[in-house]
Amino acid sequence: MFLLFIRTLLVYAAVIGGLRFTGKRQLGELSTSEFAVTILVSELASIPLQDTATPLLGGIVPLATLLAVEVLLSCLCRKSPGIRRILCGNPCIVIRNGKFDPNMLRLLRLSPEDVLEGLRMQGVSRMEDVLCGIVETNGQLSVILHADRQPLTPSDCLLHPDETGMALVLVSEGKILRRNMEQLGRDEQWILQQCRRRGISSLKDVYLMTLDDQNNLFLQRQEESV
Amino acid sequence: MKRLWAAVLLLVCVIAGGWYNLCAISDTVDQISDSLVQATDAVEQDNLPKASRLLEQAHALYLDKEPYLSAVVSEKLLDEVRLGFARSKQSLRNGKPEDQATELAELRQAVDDLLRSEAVGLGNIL
Repeated sequence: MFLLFIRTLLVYAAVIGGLRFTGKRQLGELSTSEFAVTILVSELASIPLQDTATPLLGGIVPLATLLAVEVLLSCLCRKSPGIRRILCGNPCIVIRNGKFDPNMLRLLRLSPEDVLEGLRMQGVSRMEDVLCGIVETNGQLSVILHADRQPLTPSDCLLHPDETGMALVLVSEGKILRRNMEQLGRDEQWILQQCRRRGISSLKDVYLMTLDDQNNLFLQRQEESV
Repeated sequence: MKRLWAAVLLLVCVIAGGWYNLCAISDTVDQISDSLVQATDAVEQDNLPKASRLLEQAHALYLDKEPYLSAVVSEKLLDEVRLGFARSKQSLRNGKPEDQATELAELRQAVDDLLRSEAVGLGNIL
C-alpha cells in the first residue's frame, strides 16, 4: 500500500509538472495535438498506478517524451505556418453574409443545427445578423456580426468613460501579497492606513483587499464573508 | 524559449537514458548468458561441479544487477529469471541430466527475454 502511495505521489507530481511545463493553453482551449497529449497522458499516468509490476519509469518516460514533443511541436507551429496547418488545421468559414456554406459544413461534418447551437451559445439568435461564422482550429465557433448589429459601445456614442484598470489582490485572508503590492507601488504602511480608515485595526480582520490602476479600493472584512 | 530548450533537454535525457539502459541490459544479459552457456557445456560434459559454480556465478551477477533491472524491466520477466535460477539449481543438485540441460536452456531463454523486451526492433515496435 505504501508503495502505491509513493507511486501515486510521484505520478501525480509528474503529471502536474508536465502540464505546467506545456503551459496554460493545455487547460483551456485544446488544439488537436494538445487534445491527443491530454488523453494519452491520462492513460499513461494510470498504468504505473494500477500495476505495481510495471516499473514507474515505464509511465514516466513516455509521459516526459509526449510532453517534451508537444512543447517542441507547439514551438515549431509558431515558427512555421506550414507545420501549423498540418498539425492544427485552418480556421474554416461556415457562415458568410448570413448564409451557411454547405460545402464547408459537409467538409467539417457539421450540421446547420450544430452551428445554430454555437450561435445561440454566443448570444446570436438571427442568422441575418452574422457577417462571418468561423470554426476555429480548436473547434470553437467565432462570430462576427454585421456592423449595424454589433452591441453599442461608449465610443459609438462619442463617450469616453474612465478606464477601470485591472484590480490586483493586495490582501487575501489577512495575508499581504507582496508581489502585487510592489507592482502597484504601495507598501505595508499604506495598506494598514487604508484599513484603519475603514475601522479595521489588524490585517487579520481583512478577508480581501483589491486595488486597481485607478486607485479604486475594494475591502471586505472577515466577518462579512458568507 | 526557456521552455523549448527545457523540452530539448528533456528529450535528450530520455534518449540518452534509453540508450544507456539498452547498453546496460545488453551488457548484463551477455555476461549472464556467457556463464550459462559455459554451464550448459559443463553439464553436457558431465562436469556438474563446474556447472554449479558457473550457475552460482551467473546468479551472483544477476543479483548484483537486480535492483537496476527492477527499475526498468517488468517484474513478470524478472520473476521468470528468478524461477529459472531456482529450478536450474535444484536440477543440478538432484535432477536428471536431460532435465538439467533443459532447465538451463529455459533460464537462458528467460535471461535473453530481458534484452528482447528492451531491444529496438520492428518486432517490439509493432
